[in-house]
Amino acid sequence: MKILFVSNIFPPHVVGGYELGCLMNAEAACRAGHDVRVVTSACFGTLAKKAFPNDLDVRQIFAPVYNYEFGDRSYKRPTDFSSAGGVHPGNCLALAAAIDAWRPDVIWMHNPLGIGPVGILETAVASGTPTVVHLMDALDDAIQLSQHGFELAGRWAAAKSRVHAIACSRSTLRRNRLLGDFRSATVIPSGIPLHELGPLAPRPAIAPAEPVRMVYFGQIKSHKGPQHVVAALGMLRRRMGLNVELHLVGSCDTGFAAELRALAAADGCESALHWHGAKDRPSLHALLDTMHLAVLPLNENEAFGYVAPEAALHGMCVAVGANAGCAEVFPRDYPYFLERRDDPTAIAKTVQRICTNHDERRHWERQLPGYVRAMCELDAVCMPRYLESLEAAIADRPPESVGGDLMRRSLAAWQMNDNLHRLLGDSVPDPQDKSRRLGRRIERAVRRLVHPTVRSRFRPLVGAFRTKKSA
Amino acid sequence: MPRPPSAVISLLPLDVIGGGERFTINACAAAIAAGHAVDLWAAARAHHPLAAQAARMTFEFRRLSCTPDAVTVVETVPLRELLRRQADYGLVHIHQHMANVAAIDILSAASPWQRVLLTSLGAEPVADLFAKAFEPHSGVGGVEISRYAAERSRAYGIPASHASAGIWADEIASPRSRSHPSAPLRVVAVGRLLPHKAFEVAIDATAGLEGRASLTIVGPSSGDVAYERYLRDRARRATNIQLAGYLPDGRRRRLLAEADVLVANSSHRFYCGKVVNQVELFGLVILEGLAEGLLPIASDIPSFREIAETLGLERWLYPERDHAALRGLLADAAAMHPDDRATIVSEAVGRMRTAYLWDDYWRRATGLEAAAGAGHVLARVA
Repeated sequence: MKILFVSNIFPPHVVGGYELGCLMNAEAACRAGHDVRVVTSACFGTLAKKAFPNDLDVRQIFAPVYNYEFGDRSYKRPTDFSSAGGVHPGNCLALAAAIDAWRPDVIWMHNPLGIGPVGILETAVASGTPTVVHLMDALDDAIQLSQHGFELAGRWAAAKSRVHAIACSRSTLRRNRLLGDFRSATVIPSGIPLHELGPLAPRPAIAPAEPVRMVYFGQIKSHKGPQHVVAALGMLRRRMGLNVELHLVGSCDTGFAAELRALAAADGCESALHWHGAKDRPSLHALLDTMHLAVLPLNENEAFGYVAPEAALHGMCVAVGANAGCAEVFPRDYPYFLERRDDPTAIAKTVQRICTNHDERRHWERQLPGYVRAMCELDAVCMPRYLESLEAAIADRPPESVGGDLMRRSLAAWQMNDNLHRLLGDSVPDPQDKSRRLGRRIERAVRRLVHPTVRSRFRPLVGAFRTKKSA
Repeated sequence: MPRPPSAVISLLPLDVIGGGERFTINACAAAIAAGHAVDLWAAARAHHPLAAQAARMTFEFRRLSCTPDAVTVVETVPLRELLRRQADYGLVHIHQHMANVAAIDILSAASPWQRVLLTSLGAEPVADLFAKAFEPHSGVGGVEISRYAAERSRAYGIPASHASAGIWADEIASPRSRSHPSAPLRVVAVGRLLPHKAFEVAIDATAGLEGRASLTIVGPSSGDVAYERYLRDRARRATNIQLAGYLPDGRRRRLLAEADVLVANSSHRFYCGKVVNQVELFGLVILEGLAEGLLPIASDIPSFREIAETLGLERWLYPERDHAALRGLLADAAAMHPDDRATIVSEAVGRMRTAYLWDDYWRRATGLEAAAGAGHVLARVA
């Protein structure tokens, strides 16, 4: 099968697990004996964190306008919105040319955000090539929020209805049904290549005289919840009298690192906080083998979260956010789900349970690797299912006219919007509109000033306020 | 596979019923009559034609339900929401697309799998800007209400065909005897009291035919006080002129049923000297008069000429604003035996049935064949 793999950011450029997941999928498809060509963007900035994947056919054909590195702050020009939620004609033409030149059997689209997702999907469908969108992010959310100066959510929905989807979790699929639905959709958990993990060492036992080594790894960013783990660390040590250490592994910006240090210092547990920085995968796996348990309070916006199943494959008990996408690959009766992932008390109690209930912990340490492997092993489990979905898409080619004419319609429709902006002049959206970012600034300020334990007490009030407002 | 529904979107509100508004509602009724699922959307009010994008997205549009008795509002949504829902329609028919730049928003939000049709019904405040912003492609085209309107569209760079309609088959009155041969000719002029309707030409023409013809002008006020005062002053000079003002449907029909001749005087030159380049894209009033059995006499403007040529009524055209020529035609009509007039009308009605019926308008405009079991008219506006 000739698979054209489309994704905005692809190694060597990496933001987080998403891009690594794309690389793993493309490599696994090659290992399964298929022709894979990756078309991605020529990224700029400091995202180039890995070596160029020379064993893959990677073509950097797209022009990225939206810069992932800076998030919302990267919106500088009106065209930035179009790349995040509209049409970028140059990228559409590049994709059309790539399809025309290689004539793939199927397009496997991962991340179209940042390269004009509506135009990219329309171009793929217009080419007549069966297309499967692999959902590892909430595309609908991002597209909906980027409708500034144009309104193409309907077009996105119309294009979606003509393609198939693979979602990495049920919650991700649900979040991608805000704007229309796909022609068909299936949920297949993100795959993890077991050969990268290497031989797994036996899990170290928790000895009474030694500190319990608790690990948090992955991106150290506020939305992933490490601050709640640091707050829980203080509780475990001061209130529950447990000798626990927290090991933080991953990259972290200096501002947030200072916040975490200040939080630990306020609880008097600075000495129990160990920073390991970003590690390559062999070093990470070696480090994980020395840990007793992992705490990963991922939130409901986490499409999957490779870290939790990776920790589980190491035979570690993981306290994991109950609503994160990866929670779906854990057994239903798994006792260490964090229902309130941003409540340090709940996290501390779960960790206490893991540390003190030895039989239960050992039981799950034995059970988890096999269970997660059966769900997430990339080459043996996930890739065959992915390929099955791609083949089903090929077999289900929609019976309608395709070709350059449809693409011409797509680009002409976009051009009219562009023309009107130019003619009216005054209706161009202001990308520097600070009010859009005000909410985030307030959130950051609150996080700095208010201790998580105090914040958690106000959660019911916040919930009530939200309900009232939405009602 | 079920056919996706269609939408008719009017960029002007339908709260005042004039020729354009009637055309929109009847187009929708024609689709329903052909068995198609169609939603009628209209602007909730006359929005600023050149508003900025952010403001345009808040423009309110109403989804309307047409019943034989009334047009009622089902829901009101902002334009942004309408654009999102637009994807659900297989065909979007925009009426009054040159009335507001929101038409470009609708065109931009159209998916490549959608067909978009454009019909101008005369309100064209943003015509030049629309033409500059418009990008032709195979999914969009004009379906104008006359050959003349289609030619104008093409001059703007919009590929356009035309599909005209103005009357339902069952609204065409059966032939009946008119006035006695020696009775004075009863002339009516129908329309909103707007300067481009040039009612004063009919007044001047009829004023010279006292005893041989009388004129009744029927139509609601347009709010143009100066023009209405001008008409009143002019009508006062003769005894055979009557300004009836607005008449309810029933009374208007009775009046038409009793009349002999309908005059349509629209002119590019106004009573005050102002000149405009377009006054009528069609001539709905001619068809309505004909359906009531009246002989139509019209000014020789392109849209009226097109209808007159189609119906074989070229002889009853007069040069616009030439009241002497109109007086001559009225005198000719007065001199004819009512049966001769009826013969002319009857032949014209026969041609009207083939060219201007609402009953098959949707098929002619969209190319969509009627659904099985179609033919039952659910809604229309007379």
